[in-house]
Amino acid sequence: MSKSAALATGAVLFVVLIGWAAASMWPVNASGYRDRIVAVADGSLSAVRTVEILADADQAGKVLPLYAHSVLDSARDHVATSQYDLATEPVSDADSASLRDELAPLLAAAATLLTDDTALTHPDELRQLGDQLQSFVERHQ
Amino acid sequence: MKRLLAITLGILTAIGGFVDIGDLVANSETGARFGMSLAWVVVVGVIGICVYAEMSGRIGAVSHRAVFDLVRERLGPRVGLANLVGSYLVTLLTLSAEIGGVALALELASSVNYLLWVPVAAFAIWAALWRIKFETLERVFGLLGLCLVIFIIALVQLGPDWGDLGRQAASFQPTEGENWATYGFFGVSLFAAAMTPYEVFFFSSGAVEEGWTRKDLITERLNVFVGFPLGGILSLAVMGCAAVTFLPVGASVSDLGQTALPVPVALGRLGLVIVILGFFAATFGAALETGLSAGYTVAQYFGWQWGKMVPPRRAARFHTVVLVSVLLGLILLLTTIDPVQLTEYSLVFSAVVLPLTYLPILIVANDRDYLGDQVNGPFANILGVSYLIIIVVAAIAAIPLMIITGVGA
Amino acid sequence: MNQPEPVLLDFSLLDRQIVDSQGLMVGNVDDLELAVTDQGRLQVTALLSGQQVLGDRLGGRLGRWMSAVARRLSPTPDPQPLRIPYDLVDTVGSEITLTVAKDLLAEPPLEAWLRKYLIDRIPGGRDASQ
Repeated sequence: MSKSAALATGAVLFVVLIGWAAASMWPVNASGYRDRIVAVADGSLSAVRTVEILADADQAGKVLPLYAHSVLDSARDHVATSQYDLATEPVSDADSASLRDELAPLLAAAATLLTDDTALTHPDELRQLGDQLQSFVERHQ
Repeated sequence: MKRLLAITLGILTAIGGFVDIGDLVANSETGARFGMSLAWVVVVGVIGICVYAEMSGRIGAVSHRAVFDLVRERLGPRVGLANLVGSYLVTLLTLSAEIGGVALALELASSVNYLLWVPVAAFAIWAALWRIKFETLERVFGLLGLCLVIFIIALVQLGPDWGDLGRQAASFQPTEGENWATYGFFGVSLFAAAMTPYEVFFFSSGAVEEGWTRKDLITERLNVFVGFPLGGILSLAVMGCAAVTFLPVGASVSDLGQTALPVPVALGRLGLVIVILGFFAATFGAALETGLSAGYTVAQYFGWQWGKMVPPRRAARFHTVVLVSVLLGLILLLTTIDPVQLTEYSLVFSAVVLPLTYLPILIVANDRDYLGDQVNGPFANILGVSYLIIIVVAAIAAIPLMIITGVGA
Repeated sequence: MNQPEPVLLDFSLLDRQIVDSQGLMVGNVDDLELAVTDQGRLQVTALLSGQQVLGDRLGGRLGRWMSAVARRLSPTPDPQPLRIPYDLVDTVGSEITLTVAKDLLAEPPLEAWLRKYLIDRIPGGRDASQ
């Protein structure tokens, strides 16, 4: 490859990378915030549903404790990430604020449920919370 | 009778060897978000790998030379070097992902954090490559990988609405809540998972390692045309289990524990043990193959003695490359990158490198100097060229789709 | 010594795999040593194999880089390529077969160094796999 061609390719790649970085750091408007919030809710929904399925299976004696522990650990991680994402995304308008206010308690409930050492004995509560999260996601998608 | 046994073993090995961490991740993530609507991509990918694996096995058996060996001869040292760099880097990324997969499987079995398993897994993989015979490695891990058949049993046991699954498969469009960009991204990932580049290097080098000749062509074709499609069915079963378990409740899959979950739900504790064993075997076997492939690509480009057919001290450079590659894979994992995310990246970059891998195979398979009368017939060439077009499309689309969808978010 | 037919250098010799009389791999033909005969024609006098000659042959920035790396990795300060006189060549086909066994040729320094300081130090390097 000639020197100028290499320089040109390098320049293009640099611009693309800077553009990508900038795009991800740009402050979000209302619809952008809604997309982010839905993604955050999605993450927690998956975690809660997974634990719900796991809890049902555990009650029926279908899973091994070490495996259940791994899956539960993962789920807690996901909920923690969701809470972190929610807390680090600034709101810019009233609509975004109401979305945040609707989701925050659901995430807190998820964290509480999953960190209980009796998490796997409450599949019904998990199911209820999952339904709430799912309805949130579907309404705001 | 002995021949029948050899053929059966070969087919079984191909089935078990077909599925690796990329297939597990791609198929379960896709099933959870898209149901079966991307199943057609798996079918297309399986046909593609059959076409090209048959060619690369044929090249190994008839010319007694491995494919990568011939790339430099046929395409020149500069193109060969570009091919080497691209192929080696992607193989390294895949190797790292497979080692991560082994560690994740061990975490599921023991609840000990995967990071602690990573060095253990890397050492075990290297030690196996150092000491254990090629054939033994293939047989043991190929057969153990058959544990993943449990997904087919689990899917049937879950009693899904088959008509519903069929409708999803025939819909060819994104599910609700998804768009064409994510559909395309997951389609490309699935395709790359089915047509993983290292597979063909490995297959033709393996043909030479095991000393195949023209007489083995029938066995080779059976292995490919029966084994790989059955492996594809395994992949579809993974997708189906995820579709039945996670799609209806709006959950998406992002770790291996979730991938396994449908199996104990359907089949209880025994199913769980089998599926974790299957994960371990599939990823360990794939790590062995990618480790060797990393060595093959470098050694074959430079003309060094390669392979496990000679004692390590007679192929010092080859074994050094393998050792260094495993170390690099280990180091990448120790940066605490999520192994599942690493797998997703390895699939995207595999897609980009696919043309580099497959074009030379098509060229060499048509060269009478190497294959004599066993060159491609017109049918093989039509398929080969058609797939090359698909491969180029996937390669071009891969990175833009990754950027647009934020790695499938 | 057999008299080969006029051989197309570009297609038949360069970048081919060299194997010894027992099928073990020796290296690739990275470059050729040519001499001018009395009649003024070019004749191949030896096959050259080694990463440094390959880099020199590739030329350009890429080639120079490859040669530099090869020099850096070489245990000897002035690495010579493996030189195989052309009369050791038995047949020229899809690979180039020699009349002699590998042990009679000079061992590439990198291979020797890695064998001595790395591979032989790891237990189990001497036997073929179990």
